[in-house]
Amino acid sequence: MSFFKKGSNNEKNSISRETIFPTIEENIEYIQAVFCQTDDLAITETKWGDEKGVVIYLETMVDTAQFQRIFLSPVTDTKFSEQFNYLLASPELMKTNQLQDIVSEILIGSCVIFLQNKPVCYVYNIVQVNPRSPEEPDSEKSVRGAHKGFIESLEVNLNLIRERIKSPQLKMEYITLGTETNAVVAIAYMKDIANPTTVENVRTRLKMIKSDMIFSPGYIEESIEDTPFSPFPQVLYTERPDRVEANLVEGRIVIMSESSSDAIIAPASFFSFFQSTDDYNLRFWSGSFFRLLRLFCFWGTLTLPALYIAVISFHLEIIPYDLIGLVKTSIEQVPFSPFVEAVIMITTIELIREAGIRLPSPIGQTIGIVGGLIIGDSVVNAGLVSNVMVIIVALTAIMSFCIPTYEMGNTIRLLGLPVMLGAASLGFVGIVFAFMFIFIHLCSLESFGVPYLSPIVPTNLREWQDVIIRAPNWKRGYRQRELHTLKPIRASRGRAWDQHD
Amino acid sequence: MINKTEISAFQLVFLLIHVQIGVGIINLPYDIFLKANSDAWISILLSGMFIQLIILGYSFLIKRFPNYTIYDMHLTLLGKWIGSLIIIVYILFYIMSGSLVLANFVYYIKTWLMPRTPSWVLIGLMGLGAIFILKENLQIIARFLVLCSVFLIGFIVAAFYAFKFANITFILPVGSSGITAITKGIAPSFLSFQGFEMLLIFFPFVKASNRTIIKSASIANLFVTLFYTLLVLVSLLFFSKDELKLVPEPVLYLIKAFSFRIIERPDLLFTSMWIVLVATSFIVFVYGATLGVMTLTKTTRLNYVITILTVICFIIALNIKGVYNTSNASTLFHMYLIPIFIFFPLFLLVVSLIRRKKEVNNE
Repeated sequence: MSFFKKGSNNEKNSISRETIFPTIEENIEYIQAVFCQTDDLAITETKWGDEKGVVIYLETMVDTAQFQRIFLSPVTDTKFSEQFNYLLASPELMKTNQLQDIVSEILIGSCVIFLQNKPVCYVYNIVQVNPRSPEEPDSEKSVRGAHKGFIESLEVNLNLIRERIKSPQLKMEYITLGTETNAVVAIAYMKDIANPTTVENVRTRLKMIKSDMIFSPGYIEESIEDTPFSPFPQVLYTERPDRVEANLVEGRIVIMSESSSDAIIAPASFFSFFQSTDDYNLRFWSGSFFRLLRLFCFWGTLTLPALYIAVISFHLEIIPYDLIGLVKTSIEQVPFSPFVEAVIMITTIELIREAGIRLPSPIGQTIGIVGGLIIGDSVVNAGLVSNVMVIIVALTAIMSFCIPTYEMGNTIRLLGLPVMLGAASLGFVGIVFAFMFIFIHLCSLESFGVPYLSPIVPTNLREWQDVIIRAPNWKRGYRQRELHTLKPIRASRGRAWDQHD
Repeated sequence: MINKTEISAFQLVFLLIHVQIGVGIINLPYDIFLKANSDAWISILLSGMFIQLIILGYSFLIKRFPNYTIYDMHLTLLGKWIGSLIIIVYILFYIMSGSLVLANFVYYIKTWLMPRTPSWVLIGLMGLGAIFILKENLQIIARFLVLCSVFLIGFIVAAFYAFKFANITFILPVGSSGITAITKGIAPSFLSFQGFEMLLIFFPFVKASNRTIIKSASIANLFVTLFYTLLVLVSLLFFSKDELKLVPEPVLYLIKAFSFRIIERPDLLFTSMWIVLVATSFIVFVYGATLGVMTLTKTTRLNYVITILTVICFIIALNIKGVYNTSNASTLFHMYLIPIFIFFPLFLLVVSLIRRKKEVNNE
């Protein structure tokens, strides 16, 4: 960076200048040069009383109508000094004489006002925002609870978080990332809860990102996660302010970037991907049941097709006598090996999913009908794939979609393939070895110093009540130990009235 | 030196349990039965008590050298030459343990699950798995072992289920085989406890007081003893004396006898679960050898050491073929047990007492 600055120094001395020039013309010339004579840089000359001035802004960034209404018209209409006092009181007004600040302010949608013979210039932020309303995110719907979701504006998103956590301890840190795009990334955490080392860790990793742009949170995730080649997601995405609130108060750290509706929550552990906001609004029994169901889905997605393949190709003797006839008639006419069958069906389902995901919903339904009903039915009738295999693969797909986080669902569906390969080549032994590799990997994973499989291993039985089942809120008196929070004990005497008796 | 990653006392318990419970559990009742007849379960209990005494003996060493592994102790107390020689004996011992585990593993898998799969595939997979986890640190190994304990529960449940078909007359009258038979049965049961002596290798890594460490080792020993007793007892109660002579892998035959509505042959599932228990003990044996090599050569290249040791185990295991070969190797291996379990640690203790040597605090 500095090398290039030096190069341009020789070319044009003015580039290296830090404070503004004495005359308006020089300033205009400078700004035009910096902005490469772009066409949407508007330069409007105005006169306030006796003083000549010029307003510079990017017309594509500034809300011109509002600018006219609250700023230009009162200034030009009445006496300058009076109006200026009014303006100075506005929180949006900033005074500066740093050229670098001026440039970055123009970039984020400010008007810059130069007055003749004044050593400072005024910056008035009046950015044009066109946010959509904070609707419920499609990827994380809930039955009960709040239905608000994040949108593509950092300010609105942070506002949604502040709205929920009214605490001076909620701290936001802004970091500008992307050498070309200068996007603002915010780190939010509870100063009195989050572990300072983890916060520092996140901060350093974010600051170390050298990228020309932060196109999406995926860029951030890839740059800050611990094990980049792991198939498992190590940070949690969410579009729900309530989920962010819960995780902040739990002691985790939230990263949000400009123009993205996703919040990244770190550190994440394996079981955070199986929790859904809905669990906490359901009764304890149903919440726990659904959570167990999802963990079962994890197992099912990984093992079900593999078990079937292993049983059919290696251990047919494991099938009970009553079932053997049924399975036999189903697979007798099929020309392929069970593994090929499974791969055909799984590819088909993935195709249907991939095709349906980006199509407009009416066509998406057609895909569902064509894919699900027609292909599923005729592929069996044609004798290409056995009945049981269709059931198994469809069940597996449904189980993988039960996992509440999209990333984890994908990961597990993908990991099912190597397990199946193991089953097809070595039967149960292959499955066991495939699982061994997966679980060794899971044991070695850590997300920002938090073991991925905690609290199962390293074991903390007390926390199982929030990962395996969902214990009632007033039962959970502690924050997750592995997060090493500053306040390990939660305030959770929800039923204090009941204990006096 | 190796990364001094710390594990908790809780994890130490599982570390010790998993290194002991391994390849032997499916034929353990048979081996002891051959010697001790229907009182095999008494032999197991007695050996468990004996092991407990040894563990208590170890506590003196642990107290004197709270931060030294047994390898470090040998080097410090016995000098460079003798110390290194004994460490080499240890390394060979653990390589041999690992190889025997692999050889037995292949033998039983070929008998029960995959008769036509080439040995090198099975051993190779096991070796790869071991390398995959050993390149991490002890903390992660410990996590994995704790996770694998689920399978122990499976065996315990199966054993309790088998009590449904138990015939108590098979072990009555208690003590009918006589004291000589029971004592003879201690030898094979002693072998099945192999691994507890690794306490002396792992205790410096445990983040707990010496008292807690001994307590954890005792808990592990208690669990292993009870687990073995349960398996032996249930096999004795399930099979008559004449039957038991014919079933070299009684635990699997026992499970094979059950059949459920959805699973006709649960033994296949249990053999698969047993693979994990085999893997865990193999992993820890290789890790024990690795620590020895690293103390001896003062190398820091963990990955090389692990790979070389695993490959050595792989080659040895491939060359131990068939049950006769295995038993010959085992006999050779038995000769090591007493020195490693008792003689070397005792010798160390005596030397340290005579030379009044304790651990220097600023190591």
